[in-house]
Amino acid sequence: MSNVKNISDKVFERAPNREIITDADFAVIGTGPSGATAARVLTDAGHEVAMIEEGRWVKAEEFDGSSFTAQKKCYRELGTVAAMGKNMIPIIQGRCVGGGSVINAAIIWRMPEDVFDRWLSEFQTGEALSWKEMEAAFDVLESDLNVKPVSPEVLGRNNSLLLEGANKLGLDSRIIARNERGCQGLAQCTSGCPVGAKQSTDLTYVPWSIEKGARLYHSCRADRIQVEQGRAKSVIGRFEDPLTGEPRGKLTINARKGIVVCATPIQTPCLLRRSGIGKSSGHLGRHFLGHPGAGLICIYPDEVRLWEGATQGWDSEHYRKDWKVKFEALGMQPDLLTSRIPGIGAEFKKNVLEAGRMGNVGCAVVCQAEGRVRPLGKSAQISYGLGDDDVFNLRRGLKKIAEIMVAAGAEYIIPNIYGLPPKISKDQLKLIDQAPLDPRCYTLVLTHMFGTCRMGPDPAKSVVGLDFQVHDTKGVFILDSSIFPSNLGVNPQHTIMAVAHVGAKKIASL
Amino acid sequence: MKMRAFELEWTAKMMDTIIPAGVEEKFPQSASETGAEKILEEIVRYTPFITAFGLRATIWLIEIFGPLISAGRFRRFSRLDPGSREEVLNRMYKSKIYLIRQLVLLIKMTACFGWGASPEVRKALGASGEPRFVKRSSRS
Repeated sequence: MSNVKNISDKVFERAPNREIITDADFAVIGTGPSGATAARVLTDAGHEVAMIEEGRWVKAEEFDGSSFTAQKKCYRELGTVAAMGKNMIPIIQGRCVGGGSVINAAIIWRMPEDVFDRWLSEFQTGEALSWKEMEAAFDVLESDLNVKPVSPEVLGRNNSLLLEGANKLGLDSRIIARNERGCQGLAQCTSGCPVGAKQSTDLTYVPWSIEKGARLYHSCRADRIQVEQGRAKSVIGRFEDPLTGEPRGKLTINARKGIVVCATPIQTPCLLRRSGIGKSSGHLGRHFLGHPGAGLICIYPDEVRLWEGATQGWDSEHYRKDWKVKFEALGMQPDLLTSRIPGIGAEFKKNVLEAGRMGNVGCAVVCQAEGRVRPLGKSAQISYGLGDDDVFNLRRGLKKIAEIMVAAGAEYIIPNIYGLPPKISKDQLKLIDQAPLDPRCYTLVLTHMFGTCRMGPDPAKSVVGLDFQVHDTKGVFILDSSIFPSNLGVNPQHTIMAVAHVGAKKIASL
Repeated sequence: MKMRAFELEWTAKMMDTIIPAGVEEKFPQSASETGAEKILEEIVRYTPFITAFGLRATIWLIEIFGPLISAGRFRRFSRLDPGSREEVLNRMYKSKIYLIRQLVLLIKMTACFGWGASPEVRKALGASGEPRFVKRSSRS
């Protein structure tokens, strides 16, 4: 934010006289990867854009490496959002200017071509997106956001050991490409980069759009979209302190050309439902998809220091197609790490003595299970649970991760799986094969979400058409990953931004 | 929603059972000595009603029913001696019933967020200051 000049007259966090009534060509709801990209493209095309963001604009200096500080400032509901099914799965969602890009690990993956082909053949999305357009968007994004592999100086031991282990086993893996400039290897990506190295959209596309004339209304919740004669007319918002909820006035944006919703696959269907939009197909809020995952900790003979180095600098999609799993290293600060160390009381403290030698990898599952999202007051009710195949894939993924860790020199594995001993030696990996196939035995977290307003040509089977417009209401466009008809199997930020880039270009020329 | 003072005291006792004072010379602080229970208080204060209610209910369930469901004892958790408290939470932590395990896990996670972020613990782990291998770039 600090590198942008003269923007104070275009950024609002309250309504000075209780209400702001304004207009713009496009109102963009959400400033995460999709919303910020859409705002950037629409502004570049000469349109007048007003961005609305529910969270606050948090400056890099406000991050202190503590997870809870970040949760208070940048996470939705302080990180307590969860999907409920057979078990409870916490969902990590950003709620600040920059959205998820502020609290993710900046991992860049181009959309896998096999997934794109499936969209074409199974969901008939060809008219909306071509591979050529996607590739052109990837090129622009990678140049704008300085995407490059983690430099060796800041890679850190956890990542380098895993690369070594995977190589020994002959698995395809890589040093992760990330959107960053000047990373110092602080391993604090998930609690907000305190040096502004991560090229999140609060530091890039949002201020760049404002410099070109866009306005930003942050700490402002989009309550509903007003529709007149089948066409969206305005967005009604409410300024409030994102933490305390203290009211700060109302906002009405009359959108001359359209309203672009980029509020995530949880909030987008809730906003549409509250506004009476997108319900005609019966698919709104359904087909909730994700990549839930669980982690495995190991203990090496020498120091690893998970709190140093790139938060996520190594990953492998070797088993993405066959087993539907992806592995990624995850560094963490002591507050997060200790919460995953087993034991109570004296046993816990004894185990913490080994924290410096611990390594950590997550196994994300490309789940086949689908869930559902419905509004629940200001929140959402998310019903979701893993299927039997998903748990089976998770279990065999975790076993393979343990093998990689052992190949890298690990002596013990901390599986964090109920039914297994808290710590197993490198000779006992077969025990993981016997872990229960019950999702309640695993400590899961869900990060990537898709599908609740899926795109397709048939208004009876999809919510959004191939022009990115909601089938039953003109002037409402959706550009976030809720339109994705399937999950991706890789980290989605890059694909989300590319789809928003392609979609916004088409909307700009309508 | 706001937690009452006695609920905070219960929470502190639960957290100090999970992360007690002493035991290891390297980490003498207990969870409450790092103010960990205040994290739960803030979460309860600022999250939507249903979440806040669930968190408060967790505290009440452990306090009133924890000793009964895990050890068959008709005493409140906070009135047990420290050894018995550890036994109760250990049994709940390893319970066959998912929901019972989750109650303790939730308190443990919150306790660790406070304890693990404290400067004393970070220093003891060697996690204070900048990463040792990082060369300062020109960007500050």
